[in-house]
Amino acid sequence: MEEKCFLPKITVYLWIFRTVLIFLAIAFFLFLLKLYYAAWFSLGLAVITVIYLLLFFKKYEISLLKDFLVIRYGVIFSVTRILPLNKIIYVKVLKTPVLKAFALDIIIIKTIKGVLILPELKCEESEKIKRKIEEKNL
Amino acid sequence: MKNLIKPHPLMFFTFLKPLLVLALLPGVRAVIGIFFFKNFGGFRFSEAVFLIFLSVFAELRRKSLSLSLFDDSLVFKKGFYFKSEFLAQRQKISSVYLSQNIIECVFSVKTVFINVFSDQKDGYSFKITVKDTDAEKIIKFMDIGPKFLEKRFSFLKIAVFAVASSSTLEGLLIFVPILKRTLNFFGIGLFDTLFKELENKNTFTDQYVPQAVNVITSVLVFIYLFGFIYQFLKNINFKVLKHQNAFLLKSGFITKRESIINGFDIKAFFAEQTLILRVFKCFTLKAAIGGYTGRFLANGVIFPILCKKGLKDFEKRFLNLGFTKKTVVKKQKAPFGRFSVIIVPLVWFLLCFLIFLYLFLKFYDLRRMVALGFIFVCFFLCLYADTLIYGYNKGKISLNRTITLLGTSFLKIRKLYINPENVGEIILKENPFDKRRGSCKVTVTAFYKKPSAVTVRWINKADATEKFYKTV
Repeated sequence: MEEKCFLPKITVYLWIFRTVLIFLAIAFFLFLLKLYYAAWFSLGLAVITVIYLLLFFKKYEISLLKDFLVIRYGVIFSVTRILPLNKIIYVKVLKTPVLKAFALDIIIIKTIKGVLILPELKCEESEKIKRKIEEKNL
Repeated sequence: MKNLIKPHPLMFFTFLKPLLVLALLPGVRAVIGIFFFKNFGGFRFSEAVFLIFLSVFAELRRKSLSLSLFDDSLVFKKGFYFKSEFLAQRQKISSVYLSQNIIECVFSVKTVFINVFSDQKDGYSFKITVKDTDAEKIIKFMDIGPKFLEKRFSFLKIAVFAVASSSTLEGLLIFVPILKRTLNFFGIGLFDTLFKELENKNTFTDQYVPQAVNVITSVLVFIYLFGFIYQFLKNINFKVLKHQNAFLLKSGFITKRESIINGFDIKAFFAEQTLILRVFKCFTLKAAIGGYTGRFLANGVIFPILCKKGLKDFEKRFLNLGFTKKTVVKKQKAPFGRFSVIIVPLVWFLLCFLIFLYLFLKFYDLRRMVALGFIFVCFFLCLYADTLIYGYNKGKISLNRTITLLGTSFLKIRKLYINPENVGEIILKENPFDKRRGSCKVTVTAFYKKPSAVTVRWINKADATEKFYKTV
């Protein structure tokens, strides 16, 4: 039985907003320093990053199987990470005031190879993942 | 039955050593006193008081240690002010490591490190210096069962292992500071002597390589030699004793080492073949041990050198493999055979060729060196291509009671034997060409404290996913 967790659209918009904000700030300072070519280059990079983010989140997939958590991502190089649920060391749920306003959670999963940060998910979805991992680890 | 083990007085120096760093402060004060105020008396008194204080502190710490061995558990107590007690079941002890250097040998004393496994979270490790008789008691407590296999490794085999496993970095970290200090003590500058020696040389290589590169290469080779000597002395007289419940490893010449690895805590076995070992057609067999192993357990090496036949024999004796068509994951054929496999090194070759061509035309005086550099790069790319071809031809994943992966890791060939319950993570990676073919690169990570992975290329993605879901 496969349960899929979908990324809400607000996650994509949030990431685009953050990226554009950073690039605009850089471009602004470059304009102030009269480095016009660098500023335009930074704006161009912002456009490319936005396109990349749209494609990245379109391909991002989280599936909950009976014993596994499967995460698929990647635009040019696709990566599928299969995590046996009972081998997850711990799960952290992160909330910021902004995320709270949109009822979103960031899930941080500690695996044996490192830390896996899932993009913002709806609270219900994150709760579902957390509960499933808890069930398998108890 | 309770066995109380107290630390040997020699352990006093173990506790004193880190505290001596604190003696630096009175030392600085003393230097200031001597040079600016011509005051010698104050220095001696303050330093003596400070050293006495440190000695009392170290002795109190030593006295507070104790290890009690019960029938199937142990209790380790430490601390004279903040007291702590650690209780562990015998089954949870993942490894015991005993070492004896020359001084300890004179006093018939051994230093014992005990590593305790605690479900992948922080393990616990402690050390205690005890008499030989007490060390025997600890080995007896481990209940390793009767011995049924003994293998001794000849000097030649250990030399091959040392050549293959020692690195320039290791030599750099261990021996150069020691050698430099020793030579400085006798008033000889190590690097000055080396540079002078090399400047006088006018050899065949000087025509191709400028003097600076020549010096750097010679220093690196020199350091590598130290790394080799260290590895050789560390692993000389290597002996593996397989007991019913554990592996007992013995090695060393100047410092004698003994390790007991609990069989239940071996999470996976790795057979590794470095470039040099590939020439000798040999493998090094390592164990991935659960819990805290730290730096005390010589990288988990169980068999330093194993030939192909030896490895097969090991598989037969200790692992349930049983390859059948059903259990082996399907492989994907490359569209243009081996040519498709070596595309990545070919791209690198083209890139390097263009860079070296530019350098060749730009720097007229360094033409010979650039040409030599290009030959070296080509040699490494050839080795990389050869490893990739090996991975394509021989790479395999077999999912049974023991999962076996034969893959590559840059220039190394690796074979991983792991039980399905110990698999930590499976990663499938696809590049745009893989997506078309339905192939992927599979990386399996062993689930233990220090993760280690093996990657197998040209695997059928659908078949791999399906079989992993069924087996793991």
